[in-house]
Amino acid sequence: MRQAQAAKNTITLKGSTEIVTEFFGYSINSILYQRGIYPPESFAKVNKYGLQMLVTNDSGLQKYLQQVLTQLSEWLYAGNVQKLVLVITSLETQQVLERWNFDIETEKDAVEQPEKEFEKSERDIMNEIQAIIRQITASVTFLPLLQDACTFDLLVYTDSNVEVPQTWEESDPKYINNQQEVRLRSFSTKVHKVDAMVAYKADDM
Amino acid sequence: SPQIEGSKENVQPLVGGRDVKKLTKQLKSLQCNPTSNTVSIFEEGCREWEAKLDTECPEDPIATWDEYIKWAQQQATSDKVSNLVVPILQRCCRKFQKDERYKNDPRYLRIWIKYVDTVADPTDIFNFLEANGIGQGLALFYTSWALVLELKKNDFTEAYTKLEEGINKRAQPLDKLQAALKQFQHRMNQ
Amino acid sequence: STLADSMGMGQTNKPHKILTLQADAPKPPEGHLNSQRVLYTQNKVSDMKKKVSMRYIPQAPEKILDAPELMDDYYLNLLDWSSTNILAVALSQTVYLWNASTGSIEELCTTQGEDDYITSVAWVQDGNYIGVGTNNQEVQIWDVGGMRQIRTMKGHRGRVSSLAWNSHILSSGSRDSSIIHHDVRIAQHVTARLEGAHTQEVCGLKWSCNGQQLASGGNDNILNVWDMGQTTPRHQICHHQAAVKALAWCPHQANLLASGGGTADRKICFWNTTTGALLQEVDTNSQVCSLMWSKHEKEILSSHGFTQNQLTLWKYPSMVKVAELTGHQSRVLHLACSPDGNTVVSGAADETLRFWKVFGNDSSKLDKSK
Repeated sequence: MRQAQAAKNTITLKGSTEIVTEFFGYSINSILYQRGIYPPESFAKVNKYGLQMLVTNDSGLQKYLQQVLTQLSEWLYAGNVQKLVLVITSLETQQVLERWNFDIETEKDAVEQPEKEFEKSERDIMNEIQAIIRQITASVTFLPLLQDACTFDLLVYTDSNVEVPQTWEESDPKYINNQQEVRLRSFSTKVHKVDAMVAYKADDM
Repeated sequence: SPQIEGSKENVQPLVGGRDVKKLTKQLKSLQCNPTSNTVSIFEEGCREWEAKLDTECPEDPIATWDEYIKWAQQQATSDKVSNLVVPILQRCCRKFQKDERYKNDPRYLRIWIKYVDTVADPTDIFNFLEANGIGQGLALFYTSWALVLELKKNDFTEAYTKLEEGINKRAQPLDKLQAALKQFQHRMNQ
Repeated sequence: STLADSMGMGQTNKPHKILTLQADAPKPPEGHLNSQRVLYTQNKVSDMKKKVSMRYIPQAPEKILDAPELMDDYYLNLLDWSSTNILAVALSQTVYLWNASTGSIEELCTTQGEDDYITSVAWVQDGNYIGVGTNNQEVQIWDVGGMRQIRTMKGHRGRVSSLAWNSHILSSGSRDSSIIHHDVRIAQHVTARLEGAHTQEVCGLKWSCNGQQLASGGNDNILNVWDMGQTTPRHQICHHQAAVKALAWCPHQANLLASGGGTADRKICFWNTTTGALLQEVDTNSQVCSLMWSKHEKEILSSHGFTQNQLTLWKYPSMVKVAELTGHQSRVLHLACSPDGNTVVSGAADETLRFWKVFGNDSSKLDKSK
């Protein structure tokens, strides 16, 4: 904590893009672990944000996430991402069971003037991120047990003028029928603002 | 959801998940009346449901029971109250155990399985269901029993037998049962 | 916020494309079963670790007392046993004193407001006074000999969920996420206000046996270890994945602390509080509500909720189960130990107090020392 206090208090588009991309990496890993999508033993403990985080050890999954995050980071820098959605689907029935939605707002000034510095301390940003990660962990109080084996998809909502990269394709939004919604906390770097929400299938209620 | 996070240790996880609007409302009212008696509030709600049981939907009485049980489980955030859900499950199970209409009704079997989830050793319950021909045409019966045998009893041979038995009886949905058997075999091979 | 205002909230209606990688995410291994299942059912994964019994431990409580209206709230601390052999229990609005030597019961105090209730109780070491925390943000001190209130100390902006004494210092933890040290001898009683180290309710608070360190646990999943006199924690430990309420300092080793995590965590961890190192960790498969070391042996008792409502006695450091005691019908929120270290009382949401002879007695050791 003492180190964080000494850290810098301003942020640019580049720095913000790095922080937001990294946040998505850790929160996606955290959701996949907490929801039991993959075996717990395929995750390793690392310290991040002053928390103990779990990150996948599986090289295939690492590569998949890296591919998405690298592209996402480019779009974040260009200021044309609107949201990232993690969709959890039953392998058996192909039904969408859960949808973790992260709305992203980008400050226009920052994209137009990438060198412009915005005032926000790393420590404040970290505290806000901590709070979201904690909510992801606490979500077991209301989320159902995922009984089926599941897989997941990452959907990136971009501005409509964005060109589809070669290894990417357009997708339908994969909504849930009959859903429950819980709004989680948000965090802001002053350049990007991320609002988190989780929606889940409410069948047996 | 600040209410939910602030009380996260006071809410019991539920297999089917929780209705967040109801949960938030409950936690708020508990915060306003912290010394209110959650048991008597629950029992009061039960009385309203009990009155409906025999009158509402007489042609398909289990429909009201099903709604009643769902309500009760959502209401029971603490184990003190969820202890009171168990006798409701038991009564419903007992009430329809001879009712031919419901022998292979997924709603009825799901209620049995909810009851199974509340006991430490459900072997007797599964044996009873088998002996009385309840849920014998449904995949859920075999997958639930096999899971208990595998995870709780570490009786892998018997778990396999149950899944195979379900497939032989062509329990529905059959593909679910076949998938469960395949998954089970993968686990055994590891 | 200004950013949100300038952007407008109509985000989702903006024209957009939805893009995804053509490649699919790797599937989980064939046969994968969700390990979270353990949280949702009584039929949990079997525990294959054998229990070893080193001595006779009675499986039934030797006494059961009714505790009507004992609040079913994980975050409160409602049970404490004094060095003078008096058990204090807070039942909703009233603190009762049960004299374990005579069996007599007295009513110490009742909150004033209709919706007020007691949120914590803690005996001073010598047992003449008791600290009482309330939901209307007060810390009260009661003289038990005279059965009268000595003082009321304000300062918190939330209910006072935890209390811990260190001679004339009474420390209080609150839902306002702060800890206050009160010097009970002086008028300006607030000698330190520890803020910023927790961000949610402080539900666990214990001074070490020698009074040199304070451990605090919160609903923010954080465990802090403070050196006496300091206002920033020596160690901030973010290891548990759920609230940290159960805390116990080892009576045999000054810098050994045990901590237990809530529903999403279910672990008991052991810490060297000098270095901050994690020494040992065990998954209990259920919410850890309370921890209590034996004074006689290197053993620790844990109490649980969601789902078996059991007490488990563990050998330290092997963490072999010595005994598992069941009987409570709801989660076992509190533990307290008799001054001779022989009897443990457990307070549960089933509104009973049960007394267990689980720690044996130290007669053999006394004989040796004679």
